[in-house]
Amino acid sequence: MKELTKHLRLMGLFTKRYIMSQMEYRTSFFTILIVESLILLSKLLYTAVVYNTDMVVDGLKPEAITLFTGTFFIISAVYGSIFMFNFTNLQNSVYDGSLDIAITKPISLQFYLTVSTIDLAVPIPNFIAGAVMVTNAWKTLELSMEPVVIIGYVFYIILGVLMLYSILLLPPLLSFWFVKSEGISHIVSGLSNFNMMPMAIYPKALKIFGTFIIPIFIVSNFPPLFVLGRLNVGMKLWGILAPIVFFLGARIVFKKAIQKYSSIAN
Amino acid sequence: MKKYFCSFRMGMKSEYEYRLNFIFVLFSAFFPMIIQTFLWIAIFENSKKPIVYGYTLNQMILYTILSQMIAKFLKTGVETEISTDVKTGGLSKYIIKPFNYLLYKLFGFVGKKAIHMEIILAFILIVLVVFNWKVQITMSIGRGVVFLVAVFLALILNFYIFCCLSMLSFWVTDAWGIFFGARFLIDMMSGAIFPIDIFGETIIKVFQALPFQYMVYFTVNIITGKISLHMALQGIGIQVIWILVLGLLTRYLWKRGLLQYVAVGG
Amino acid sequence: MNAISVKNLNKVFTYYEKKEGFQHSLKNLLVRKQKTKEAVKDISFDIDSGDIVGFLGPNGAGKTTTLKMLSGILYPTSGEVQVLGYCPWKRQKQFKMKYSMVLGQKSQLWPDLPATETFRLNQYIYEVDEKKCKMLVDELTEYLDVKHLLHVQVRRLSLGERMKLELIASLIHSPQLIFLDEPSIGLDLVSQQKIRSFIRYWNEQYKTTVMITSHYMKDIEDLCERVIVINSGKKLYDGSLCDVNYMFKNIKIVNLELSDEIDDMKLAEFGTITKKEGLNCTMEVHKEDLHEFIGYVTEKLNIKDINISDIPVEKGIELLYR
Repeated sequence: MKELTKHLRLMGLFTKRYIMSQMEYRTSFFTILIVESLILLSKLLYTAVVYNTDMVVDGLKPEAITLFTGTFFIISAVYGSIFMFNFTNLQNSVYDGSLDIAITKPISLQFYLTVSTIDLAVPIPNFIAGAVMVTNAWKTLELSMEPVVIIGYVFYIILGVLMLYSILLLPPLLSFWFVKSEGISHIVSGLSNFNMMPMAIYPKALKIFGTFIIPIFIVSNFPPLFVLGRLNVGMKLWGILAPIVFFLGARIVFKKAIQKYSSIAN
Repeated sequence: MKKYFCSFRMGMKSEYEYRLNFIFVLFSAFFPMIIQTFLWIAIFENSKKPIVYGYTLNQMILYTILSQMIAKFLKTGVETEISTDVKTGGLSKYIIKPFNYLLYKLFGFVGKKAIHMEIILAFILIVLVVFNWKVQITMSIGRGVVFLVAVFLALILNFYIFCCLSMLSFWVTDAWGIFFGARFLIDMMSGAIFPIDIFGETIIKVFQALPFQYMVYFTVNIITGKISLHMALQGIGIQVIWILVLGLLTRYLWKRGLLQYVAVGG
Repeated sequence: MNAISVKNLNKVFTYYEKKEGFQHSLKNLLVRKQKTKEAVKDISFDIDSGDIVGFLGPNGAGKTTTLKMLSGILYPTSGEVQVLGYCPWKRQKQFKMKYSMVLGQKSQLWPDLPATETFRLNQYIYEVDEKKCKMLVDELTEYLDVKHLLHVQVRRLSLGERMKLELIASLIHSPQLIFLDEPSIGLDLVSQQKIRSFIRYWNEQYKTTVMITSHYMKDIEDLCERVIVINSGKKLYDGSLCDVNYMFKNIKIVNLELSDEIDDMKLAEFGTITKKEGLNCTMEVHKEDLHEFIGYVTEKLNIKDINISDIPVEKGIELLYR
């Protein structure tokens, strides 16, 4: 409990730090906001096409499809605000010596290195778009408003964030062994875009790959599938188990990476 | 003239070292290709009509694959290069020499792309052979030649668009956000994400008055057979006109910018 | 009690030769030439609680590597280390709470924010309670005369001001042990002086053990009674600073003020000339030759003044570096 309040207070401090430094560089906030909105706009073209052609896949009407896309935007927003910039900085921290200082602190190194740089401009357009799409879908499809469903949805979103965190943390960690991992980072983050659409549109092999091997669909396909009542018990359990397993895996790789650093660096 | 050819060779040489990087970049185009391909398959299956937005399914898939590749091929980084030269004062060492900086950049860029050219052409050839074997597309040597000319002109057009944009860095302190955002907008308007037919009629009219669609949309449709050979030749004429217009505009802005640059002391 | 005890510490780096370019990277994946470098070789020493010990050596001698092993950032290749009773590279939380590390080359302060925000960060990280923290910061800012800088963004501060705040940030949890890696690098003389007197004050007040590396002899002379000198990873000297020259007790420095020009060759027969400006000459003469030399000088030469002294500390250290 004491540890939890300590970490929450630190999160608060990181947020405060972000806000204070943004006061200094106001333009950067708006620039990022505009750039992110444009990126979002280019992704919304997919939704536009879906509505335009009145596409129905596996019994999912366009509104149901936006439930998937919206959930994807919400999870991207969370990832973009808390983790994204930390992951891109990870490689730098080795070269600029900030890793050395971080190691000497009595605090979880992984926590410190992966959440300390927060950003609030990246998530705003994504979150707004995602929230609008999800609420709209919820209303038009007359989905259940029961607390169990809503809590379950939020629960699977949290698991989705955990899954995305674990998958996307791996490429920057690889840079402890190999010099450059930008190419891999690029490819892996491209993988998560598969979630823009319900997994039903993909062929069977891709579905299996994305559910069991690199469970990218757990990120943001599972929460809407849960709400639509399309997850059987086995999938429900796998949706909980996989993020935990992958998180533990990422944790082990993280520790190995730091170990590697400690034994070879100078 | 010799000095510009030298720049061309330098561009080729430096890119030769990193040609595998370009293959990585092409790989990153792979995921949107897959997502869109299955999206279109689902749409065509659902609509029961053989033609959607004026394309058959095969044409659409061919468009999806080729547009992503061409877009990656055309990609330039010239706006950041020029902007850095302006910001760090690196421009000074060029403007004291008796040569045309913009022409120098153009030749360097084309040299760089000469290396990418072989890779991209190999890819396109493979795609076409596979398509030809699976389905019949209207392919002729005449179209092939026109396509190659159009790609080359698109390359120069793209260079001048971003070159023109980069002139902003003479007046705007932090232009990276504009560049980044512009890239997404231009992608959208050039048909690199989806064919521009998906936009409503009014928007298509607006796009037709702009140069962007002559980079990806026009070029790819020469191959898909959506436009007639006659129209294609006409399009090439328009490409040339746009290159001249943007080239002159860039030159004008460059001269104004240099006055500003010299005035503030670089 | 020993704050630090080091036995036969070794650190060997292995690294690969790398060439630029993608092709070479690819080649490196398959066959790589492994090279090794011994950064620290068989170093042993103990440091008592409450001492200030200077850790000296030329660039690349292995000082920072040793400090990084003592603070648990790096694993040693072999050897035993106990710091405050802990094994540093196990990185136990209780251990981390008890020491602090200041790297003169790398700031831990958030550049865009006033220093108080970094103080708060450390307060949370080290779980220091609000009241105690405030008292400590008051005391430290008072002493270092930086109270007025607390609410200024760090990147607007001068190097000296930054280092003072850096020190405060690293002392928030009242550590029992501080590693200072070149804390005075790049600072002007007044700031150096201030920081020295502060370290001294802090050490006396709280009996904190301090291990300091510096290239400024004045830092070491002012602060440390004991110095450890290393070069190329090996320990060369460990003892009191004023005894460094004892190692060179056989060499005397002779200052001559001549009244006539003299051939250098003549003097060089007795020792090495280290400086000669017009009629002023400084030489190093071996003790055994001294008698003969003085005889020669007083009889054969016309001198205005002669001065014989031991090797100064600074000179002694310099000789060790060679």
